[in-house]
Amino acid sequence: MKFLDPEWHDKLSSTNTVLLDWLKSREKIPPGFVLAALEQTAGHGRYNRHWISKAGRDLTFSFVLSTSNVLEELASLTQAVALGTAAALDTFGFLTQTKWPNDLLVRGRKIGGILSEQSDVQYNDGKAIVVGVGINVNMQDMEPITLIKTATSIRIETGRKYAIKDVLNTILEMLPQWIDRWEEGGFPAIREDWIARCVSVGESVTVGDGTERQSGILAGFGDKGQLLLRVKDGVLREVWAGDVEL
Amino acid sequence: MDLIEKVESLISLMNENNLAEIEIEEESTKIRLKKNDLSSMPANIQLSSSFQEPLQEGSTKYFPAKKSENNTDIVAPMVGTFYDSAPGAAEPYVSIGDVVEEETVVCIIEAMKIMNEVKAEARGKVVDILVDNGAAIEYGQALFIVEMQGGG
Repeated sequence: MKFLDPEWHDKLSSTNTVLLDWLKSREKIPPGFVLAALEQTAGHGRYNRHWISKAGRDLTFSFVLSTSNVLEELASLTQAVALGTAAALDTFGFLTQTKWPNDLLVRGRKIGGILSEQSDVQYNDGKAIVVGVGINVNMQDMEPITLIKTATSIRIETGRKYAIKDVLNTILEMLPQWIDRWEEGGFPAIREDWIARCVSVGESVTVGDGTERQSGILAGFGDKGQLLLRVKDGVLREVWAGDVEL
Repeated sequence: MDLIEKVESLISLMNENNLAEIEIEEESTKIRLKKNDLSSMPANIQLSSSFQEPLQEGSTKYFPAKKSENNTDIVAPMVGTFYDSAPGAAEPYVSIGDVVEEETVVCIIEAMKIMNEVKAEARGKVVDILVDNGAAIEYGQALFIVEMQGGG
């Protein structure tokens, strides 16, 4: 796959939402189109967890792909994008880890995340999938969310300030090879890399999803990227939604 | 015990215990009984057809309320988490009583942080929503009951 040159906007509500709207209302949004915002006013991580970025502080962008994959196959695209983004972040000089299914961590603190949304509009020969990525770039360590040690940024990790357009270009250079690998071989093609980067593999974890929580050993990942949780009596349970809680 | 006997015994159970609603699920059958009003009988009966074996001939007279040949289920195309509204939206996609078209988006199912819009793929009126917002759902699980319109 190839990305087009990103289209930058000073301020957007949410790059995912705007791009999904454009796919419905506008002609000719080609696969590989990238929409980026210097400031995002209504971003969403998951439901009701807002991801708001101040101008020039953090990077939020979305891109669109065309896919004919069935839904279950599509789920692990998030992991492919997480791996490619992690590899790009590593070039800044620190080690980035992943947390199932969509978080990026440095030293156990969140530096970014991926959220994808499939549109039901007919797109090329398949469906459109919009992938959104958020990265903390210039957030500083006196801000509330970093004080409680749950978040970090490239600036905190390196002691330097970065132009967010440069950060995006670094990520866009790295991502295509990961998406290509995923398109050719699905999750099995990226499984080893995912296991190498993912936190808590082989450890006791709790997976939470809304009001439902279950605990067990994170035993591995199925062929679609689903989490395999070994619960009581050695039973292996497939988990398709929720987050690993640290 | 055949399906009719099961339903009859469930109705007895509901009456004896003054229950407003009861739901049982077995391998191939899911039965959900709900009274419109505690004081009125017979119960308002719904059967979720995706889990249900074909009814025996003549048995439909026991299911006069919502289950009819004109009703269809919208089922989950994948496992995941059910969301009744778009991210950040205050209003659900559809409510009971809403009329949907084939292309109407009725919910989102999230699997591993991919939000998938689900279309009605049926035309008619939504008469029941069978799952709660945020619930974990299985492949093929019935999510909505739609009363088909237009010759259904």
